[in-house]
Parts: sequence; structure tokens; C-alpha cells
Amino acid sequence: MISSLLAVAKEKGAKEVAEAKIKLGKMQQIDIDILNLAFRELTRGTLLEKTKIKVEPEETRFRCRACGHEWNFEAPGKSEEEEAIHFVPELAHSFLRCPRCRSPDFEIMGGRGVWVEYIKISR
Amino acid sequence: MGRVHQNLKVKVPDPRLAIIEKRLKQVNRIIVVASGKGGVGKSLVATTISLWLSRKGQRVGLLDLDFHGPSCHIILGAKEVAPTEERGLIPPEVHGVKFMSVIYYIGDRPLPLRGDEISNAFVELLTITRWGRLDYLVVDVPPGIAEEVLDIIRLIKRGEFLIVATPSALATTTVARLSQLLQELQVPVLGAVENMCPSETGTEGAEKFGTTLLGRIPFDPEVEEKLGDPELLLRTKFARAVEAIVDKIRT
Repeated sequence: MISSLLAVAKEKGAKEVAEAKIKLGKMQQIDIDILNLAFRELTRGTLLEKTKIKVEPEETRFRCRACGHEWNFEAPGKSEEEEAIHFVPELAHSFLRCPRCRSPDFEIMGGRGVWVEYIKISR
Repeated sequence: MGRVHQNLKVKVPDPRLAIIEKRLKQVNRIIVVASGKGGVGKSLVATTISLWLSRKGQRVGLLDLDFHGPSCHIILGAKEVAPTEERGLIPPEVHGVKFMSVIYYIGDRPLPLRGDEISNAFVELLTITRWGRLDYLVVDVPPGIAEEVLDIIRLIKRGEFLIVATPSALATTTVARLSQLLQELQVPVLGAVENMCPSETGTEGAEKFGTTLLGRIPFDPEVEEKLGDPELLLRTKFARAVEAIVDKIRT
């Protein structure tokens, strides 16, 4: 994420990057404090050293394709399954079922992944 | 004061796509084992190629991209191994081959995925896997010309396709379609191999695949009982025919 931020900043001729807005899908089960800490550590000595990061969590929402039911993601509570979903969210289809009809055929509507919505640059 | 100060909002593209290139930077060649058709022995050919390359002193990775029916782990006999988490996932080495598959996480459970989900899972897997320095990465793709094949063409432009067929007319027409697509898209193709042949000699009739025939592999009923034991597998007639194909790929 940081290398793609740096690449975009360079491409746009940025002298400063004031702010980066990061969206954090809850399905990824990433701790905001750890993300902040990692960002500070990994940007030391780069253009992003003083960049303020705004992290906004996004709720995980599923919609069942079989019965139309919508619900929020709840971590399965088993560490192996949570680890799998953390690495590859689609693996949820192996572990989770629609709470209404038990179908594994659900759509991940939101809360997947970590992405940067924008950066604010000065040049 | 001489500086022009703008507080410009700039959009940032999906960071995963940039990471994929970085993750594969130290990989010299990427061999994509595909077929249009199922049941032709892609996984067996892909896994055996990986084992031979490793035997020949090459650093090899094997990626099982068949999310619906992963099977390379059965051939390798990969049991009680798992990737190491370290700024991503480092695949464990099984019989000299760095092996990555979703089976580490789903075990024997089904993984019902639709189109976009397959694409996302593929991108995610490429993003998190740290192969390190490799001479060869062998990718076993599922049958068909859907997400996995199209995503490789989209995201791994230097992937060289090895097409697996059988002598059956039911396979050759589909294989020829895949050849045609790859040619149209100007994707690198190493050639085809014909598996499960009544005999392994000759290259007559190879034009039906629409690409160079790298070799024929005999039907070998002994292979089934050697699954899970690479040492014994490499001693079969099947594996010896694959070795000749590996030597052609390397030159």
C-alpha cells in the first residue's frame, strides 16, 4: 500500500502528502492501531513520513444470492477460520453460511480489503 | 512563497496490482499449465514438471489455482505443512518445491466461488504470497477459459502457457480453442503435450492442437498408486515422458 502511495505521489509530482484516507474493511480483521503503527514505521524517511492518515473502518455486509437475506459479518470465532478470511476474504465461502437459509452463495457487499480512497498532495 | 501550494485530492489505484509485479520480480520464468478441458491431467503434469525442475537443481514454486478442485497437494503428498506468516505468506517447501494452495486454509471443505470472487481470491493470493527467488514458478490452472486463465493473461503478461491435451476428440477441439485464444491475444505459448496416449512415440497429427507438440505422454496405470509419493512417481513411465518435456521447456 505504501509503495503504491509513494508511486502515485511521485507520478503527480507531489512535494508533500498532507493526508491519506485509508478504508479498512472489517472483514480483514486488521487492528487500526497496528495499521497506524506500521504506517509510521514503514514511511520513516519517505515523503509520507509526516502524512496524516485517516483510517475509516467499513462494515462488512453480506447478501444471500439464494434468499436475499442481508447481514453483517461476524468473525467465526475459530482462529484458523479467521486467519483464512484475513488472508483471502473469499475463503469465507468455505466457512460461513447465510443465517436464514444456510446457503454459501452470498455476495460480499462491503467490508472487503484495505484501500486508499485518496491522498492530499501539494506540489 | 514562491511555491505553488495546492491541496489536491488524488485517487490511488488498487495497491494489490502493483504488489503482484513486485512479488514476482525475482521469478525468472512462469509456466502456466492449462487446458480448456478437465480431466486431462493438468495437475499431474504441472506437479511432475515442478518435481523434475527441482531435481535438476532449479528453484521452483508451484501454485495450485484450482479453487474448486485443488489436487496438487495430493500428488505432492503435502501433509501437515503450512505457509509461514512474515509480511505476507511464505509457502512451505514440499519435496523441494515451494508449494502454495488454498488447501492450507480450507482443508477438505468445498469452496463455492463465483466469477468475481475467483478473481479476487486469485489477486489476493498473488498479493500475499512471497515466492522469493525462483527459477521457475509453475501455475496449475483449472479447466476452462474463465477467470483464472483470463486473470493470468491480464496480470502475469510473461506467463508461458503449456497446454495439456489427450488424444480424445472430446479434448482436442477444446484445446484448439484455447490455443486460438492465446494466439489471438499474443500470449506466449510453449506448446502442447498430449497425455494418456496409447504410445508415446511420434508427433504426427500434432497440428490439431493449433500449436507445437512438445511431447506425448503414455497412459500409465501405475501412476494412480504413486500419488502422494513423489520419489516413486518420478520413476514411472509417465514421469519419464514428462522429464523429456521439461528438458525441452528449459532450452
